[in-house]
Amino acid sequence: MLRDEFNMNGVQGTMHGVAPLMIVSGPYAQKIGINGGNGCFGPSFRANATIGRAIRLMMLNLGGGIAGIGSATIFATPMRYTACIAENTAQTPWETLSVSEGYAEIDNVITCAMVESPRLCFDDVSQEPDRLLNGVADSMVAMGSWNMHARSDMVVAMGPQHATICAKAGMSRSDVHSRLCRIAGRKVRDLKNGGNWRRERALGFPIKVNPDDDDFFIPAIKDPIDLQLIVAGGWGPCTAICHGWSGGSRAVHGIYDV
Amino acid sequence: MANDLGFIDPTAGGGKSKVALAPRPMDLAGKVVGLLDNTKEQGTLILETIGKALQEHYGVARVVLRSKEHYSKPATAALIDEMAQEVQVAIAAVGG
Repeated sequence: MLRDEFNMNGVQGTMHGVAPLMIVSGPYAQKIGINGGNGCFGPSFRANATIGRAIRLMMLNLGGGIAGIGSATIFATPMRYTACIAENTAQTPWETLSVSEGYAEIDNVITCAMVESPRLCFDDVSQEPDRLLNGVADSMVAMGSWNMHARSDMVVAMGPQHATICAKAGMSRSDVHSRLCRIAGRKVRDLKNGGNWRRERALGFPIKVNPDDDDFFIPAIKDPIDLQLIVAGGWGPCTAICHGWSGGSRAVHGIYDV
Repeated sequence: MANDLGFIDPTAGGGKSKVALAPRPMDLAGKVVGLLDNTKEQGTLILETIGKALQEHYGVARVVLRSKEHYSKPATAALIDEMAQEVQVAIAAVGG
């Protein structure tokens, strides 16, 4: 978390309400009971609560990121109580995020991304990926999301039921990842009508855009590496989308010692 | 029950050092004023306007405008040193 590219100092002071979400993989996460199933973003799981809370207390007491004093955060986020989950490895149809990052299944890995609280995409209607992923993509493109106005990380935690719908239709994790990167976005015409749109912000993207063309499509994900796609949560028709920050934080990952 | 818990202070007694503020001049006439743009939109415009007003109304001799690399990151030590060599007073743009 202290790596330069993660920009912890910037997040400590930001007006935005993001927190470092730890996605913990590997056998040690299972051993100590980090939950990635039912209720993984909520209370009741000691490891999730304790680890995340310890990190936050360090950020407050050692890092000085106290709201209104060292931190200009407007709302903060409930993720600042704790933000530590595992993937639902028991019910996922795919490889984990850590494996997609090049680690072995037996490696104990943490991936950390600066994100907001999850926005839930409930869909108990779609039985095939096209419609399902359209709905997930819709949750990725809010006018007020920094993902539409900057290069920003995002975590999409597909519930295992939604992931299985995609897998049964022959889609791999990589297929779903690519599809979401491609379809999640808005046209300039829509973005101008509200939220954080500024022409000069669009010109600052690391991709070529034409902010003067109302039909130009602006993707939420500017670089595929910024979309952290995992399978988490209990069995049910829901996917969680966590929007990112604007201030130049890149997700980090690495093996941790036990 | 709670009284026999040993508490460890994670700050280890640190965090007590204080940074002395630089002395504030009472008069800006003839001074060189530094303007540090944090790169948020329109920060340059605001600072340029302030700089012009300081020259016109307070006799500031010269303004030096510099930009950080990114609003969310601190100014580099090299940039701060460079400005400290050249200016007597500095104003930093904050916010968005």
